[in-house]
Amino acid sequence: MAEDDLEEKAKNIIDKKEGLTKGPSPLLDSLKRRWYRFKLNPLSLLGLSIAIITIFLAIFGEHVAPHPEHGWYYHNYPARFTEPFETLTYPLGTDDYGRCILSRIILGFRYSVRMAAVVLGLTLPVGVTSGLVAGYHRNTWVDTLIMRFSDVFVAVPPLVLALSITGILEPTAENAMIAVSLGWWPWYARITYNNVSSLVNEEFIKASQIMGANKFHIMFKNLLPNALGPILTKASLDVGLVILIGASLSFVGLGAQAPTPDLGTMVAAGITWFPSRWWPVILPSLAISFIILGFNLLGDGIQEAFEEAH
Amino acid sequence: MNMKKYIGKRVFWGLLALFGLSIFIFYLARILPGDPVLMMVDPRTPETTIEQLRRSLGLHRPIYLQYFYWLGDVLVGDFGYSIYSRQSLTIDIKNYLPQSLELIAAAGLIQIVGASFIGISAGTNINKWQDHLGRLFAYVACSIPPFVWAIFLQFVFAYHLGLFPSTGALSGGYSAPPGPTGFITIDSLIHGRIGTLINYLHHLVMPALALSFLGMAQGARIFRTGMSRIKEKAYIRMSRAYGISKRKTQYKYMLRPGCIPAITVLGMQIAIMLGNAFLVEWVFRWPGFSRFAIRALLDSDLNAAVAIVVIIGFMFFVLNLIVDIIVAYIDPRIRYERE
Repeated sequence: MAEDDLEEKAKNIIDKKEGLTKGPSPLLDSLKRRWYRFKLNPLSLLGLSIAIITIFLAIFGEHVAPHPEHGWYYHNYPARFTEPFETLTYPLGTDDYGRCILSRIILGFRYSVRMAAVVLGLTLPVGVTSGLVAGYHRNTWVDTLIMRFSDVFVAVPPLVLALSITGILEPTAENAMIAVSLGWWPWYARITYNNVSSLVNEEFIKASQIMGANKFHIMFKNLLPNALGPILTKASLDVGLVILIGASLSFVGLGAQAPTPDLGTMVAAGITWFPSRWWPVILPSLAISFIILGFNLLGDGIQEAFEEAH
Repeated sequence: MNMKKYIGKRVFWGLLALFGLSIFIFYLARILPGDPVLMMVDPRTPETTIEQLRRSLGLHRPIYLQYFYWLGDVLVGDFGYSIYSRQSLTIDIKNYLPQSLELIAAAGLIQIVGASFIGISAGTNINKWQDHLGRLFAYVACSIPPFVWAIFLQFVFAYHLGLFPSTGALSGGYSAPPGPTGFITIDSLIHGRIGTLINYLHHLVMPALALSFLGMAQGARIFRTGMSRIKEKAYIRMSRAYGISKRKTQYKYMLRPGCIPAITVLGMQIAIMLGNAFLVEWVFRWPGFSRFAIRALLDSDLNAAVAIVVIIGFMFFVLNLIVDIIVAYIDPRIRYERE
């Protein structure tokens, strides 16, 4: 009899425990709260919409652009320098080869988004890992080595480093991405390092160490999730900046090269006829600013949402 | 006391990073395929002459030795020979750098004045029209790359309204004064050529504005946040309760602590201008360092690439150091914390 009672009790406890774990997940809950904060600001929603449009056009550009064949080598000299809004065939006019500017801008979104995606995709893992390792081994030679090594690549403005590296290698879009990444990862290393080195003295890390968790478990399972918020916020604010640098590189001719429908390259190509033919220069410039504005607003919104929730 | 130690430490690590950067960029420029000697000479030059030239340039040595020879030369101010301009890089740098520095100084001044004005008026009037206007400006200015600003300003103010010259640094009738410094502003004052100075400043306005907007927007935002945070502090309410005027509270008690984060950001933005000046000068055909540098880089002039990185890196280091010293001077908390 007594044994049955005990079993019942144990079952109750287990049930209750299950009840606890089955509740709303804390991560989902906090994301919901953040989304609520985020959508309170109409500017953040505007940013999100611009970002979604940009990414959509970056993926499906060929299917949306009225003249996708105008992207690369193509010429139609009779239609050269059609003014914007003159004909419906070329709503935003044509450039010096008679190529549709609207189509080229739409196709150009891909290069801006690709720049940001590749640079962040390369620099986030590298930067975060090195910051994590350095922060965990604070005040040891590992810390000094990693952080001082990262200092080397931020000893010049990122644009100058990127310009010189693409100049030394060969000016292509791929080299531009590598060059920007080289100057970018130290920022993630630094922000991760700062967050981790303040977390490393917290009790829960000590508890984990005492329980015999190995280094990698502590770094990636205990420290990283707790430091991730500010890192991702910084990354979302950086998207616009990376696109800006990418466009700048191709504008001076040290990034994507001429027939590529890259927005910066288009501006540079149009400069020859500027200002009498203003549209091949001004319209892609506006497109660049539009994309950057969108990602800046989005990044600010994310930052606001995460800051308020703390 | 310990301030000196702190600055000394910054200088040591800063110079070490610069040293590392020079090694990185020097190796990158040397290990790549392509023979700089063949790029310099006529293709019909006999093999023995090429070999002689290679020896005279020290290119037959292993790279690490080449690096130390190069470093020794740089420390006495010799950056080697430019394949692009076909003369000593030191001469090129002396010719082109002053105009860039003048542009950056002008842009930095505009940036500081603009950011303080916008940031303070927004930060002391949170959620009023000054704040909204300031925020709108910040969003727009942050989203437009400096080279696009340059194109827009050139298009509107130079080509359409004709208020400012569109390109260059001096109009046809004027020539750069043969001064000792190379800075046109200083040299024209030395030689008493006020007309040249005014003409030069007239040309300077548009590029300086284009270069300043990005930093101005960032600085204004930080200024606003700084001021609005200080405004909520108890001692500000206290001073208002004592009957100290709003104006005096704002400028005597709020400005100093409120501007500290902004100074760091403004200084960093001026340092970043060293990079962005490359783009603005390109649009305005400003006869500065960046125009030389981009042409040389497009020509894959490896010596120039290394020199550019090292020189800009050094100026970047000096600017950041100055900002650190200013901040430590203004903020007693930093000074005492280090002691």
